[in-house]
Amino acid sequence: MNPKFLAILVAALLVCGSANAQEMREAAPKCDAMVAPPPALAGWTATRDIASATKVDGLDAASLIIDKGAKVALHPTREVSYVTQPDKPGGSVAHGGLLSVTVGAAGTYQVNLSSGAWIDLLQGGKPVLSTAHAPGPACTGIRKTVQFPLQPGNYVLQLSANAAPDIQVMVSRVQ
Amino acid sequence: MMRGLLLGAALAAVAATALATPSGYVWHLPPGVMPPPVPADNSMSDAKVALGRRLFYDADLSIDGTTSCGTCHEQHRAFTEGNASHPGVGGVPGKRNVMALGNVAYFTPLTWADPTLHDMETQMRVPVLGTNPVEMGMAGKEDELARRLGADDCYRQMFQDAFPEDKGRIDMKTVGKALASFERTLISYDAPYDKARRGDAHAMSDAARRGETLFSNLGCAACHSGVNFTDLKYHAIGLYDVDGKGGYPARDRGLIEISGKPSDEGVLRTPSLRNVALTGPYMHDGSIKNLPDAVRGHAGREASGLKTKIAAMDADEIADLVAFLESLSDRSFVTNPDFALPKMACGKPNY
Repeated sequence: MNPKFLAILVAALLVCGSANAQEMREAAPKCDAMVAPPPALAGWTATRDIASATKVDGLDAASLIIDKGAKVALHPTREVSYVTQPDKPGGSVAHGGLLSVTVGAAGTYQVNLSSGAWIDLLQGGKPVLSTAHAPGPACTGIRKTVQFPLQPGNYVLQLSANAAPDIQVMVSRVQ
Repeated sequence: MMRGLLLGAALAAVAATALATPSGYVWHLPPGVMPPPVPADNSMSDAKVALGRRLFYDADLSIDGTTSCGTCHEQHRAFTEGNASHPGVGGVPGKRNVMALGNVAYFTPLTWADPTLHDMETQMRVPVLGTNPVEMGMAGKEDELARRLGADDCYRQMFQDAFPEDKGRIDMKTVGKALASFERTLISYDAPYDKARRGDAHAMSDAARRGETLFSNLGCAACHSGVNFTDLKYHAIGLYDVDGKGGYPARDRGLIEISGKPSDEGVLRTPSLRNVALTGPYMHDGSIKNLPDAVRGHAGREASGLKTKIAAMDADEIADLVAFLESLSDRSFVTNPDFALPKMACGKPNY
């Protein structure tokens, strides 16, 4: 293979892989009992209830707080006006919504989810590329985690393709 | 069948080939590539392809709206995904590694180990309606699928445009025909390997050329043959031997599960090697993570002679063979916007 082409192809795949690096498709482990998450994710269990927004105008009332868990009410897919097309849009019978997140300090942040829903994290209407993904700690209720390098500012978290009408979410600081 | 697809030097200088069918559909194909076979009762049309493409990425084809065909068949991975297997809706464990869809229109039989699956129009019933394992979970919910699609004005128009002879009927038959029409357009013959065949002396690296020679000398092409690097036949490569007799793990024993014949233990259809560098993990169960190990995983049964040959390969030879396999990666295929999630449908955003 032409080395130049290979380099371009690998670079393209790395970008694509990053943008899509969140397919958390391992079957969930069987748990006899739930266990507490590690200290870095302690806020997962102290949840508050919030409703996601169906459009950007409603984001002020749909804010996540860093390191604090939230049980988020979602909406049928067709009621949600996404900022940008989700990479994995849900069907009409699935659920989704919009949340806002304000980041105060630059660093790596992790979006923790209780399901395998698809997420897009946007700044200025453009997706931020994820850098890592992994299942959550077993039997903590955290099913999926996705990490992003973030700068201070306001972000929109798009949730899509969630089977249930609610989901638990927490954005945590990694470093 | 594959041998006749590339017509040789006479067409090598042609930049691209546009072939119109009697139905008016125009195939845009790389030089020398002939259109795939199309069943008489499902002639190609732009309307069917557009509808099939939208359906391919629509998670309403799954019971809980979470999973579309495109969930497992991701374009940037040559329409595979990066996991060993993909759990079905609700987290039901998956069974086999997702097969690539490049040039699937030329393949028969379809899938890893079911010689009864020849028909792309009905193959979609396996993921959508199948229960062994459950994938999209719509068994017994065919009417619900039609209801969901029929509730969308744009879908009603698209089905009408695609199937005027059926008055735009929405059911599993028309859904299957549209999906098959889109999947027939997933053609991948523009890799560096193909460019080299068409006369580009710089398309393949020296390592890839050495690897191509190794590929031939090792006898890989005995099974990975033709322009799609598959003989479309069933073989046992001896990936497992759980009982000293070549037995496979109970979770997946290959063709024997369909045929019941003891000789079909661990027998699976040869996968195409087109875009193989993009489609890991490898093997029918996704148990091998990278290409060098996948090559070594073919050590197989001593009787084949391959075990000795592979064991004798040094690291440089493995690297050359992998370089050849990488030369089968078709960048235009994995980035072609015509194959991606459609952003618009009926003139409106498709989300």
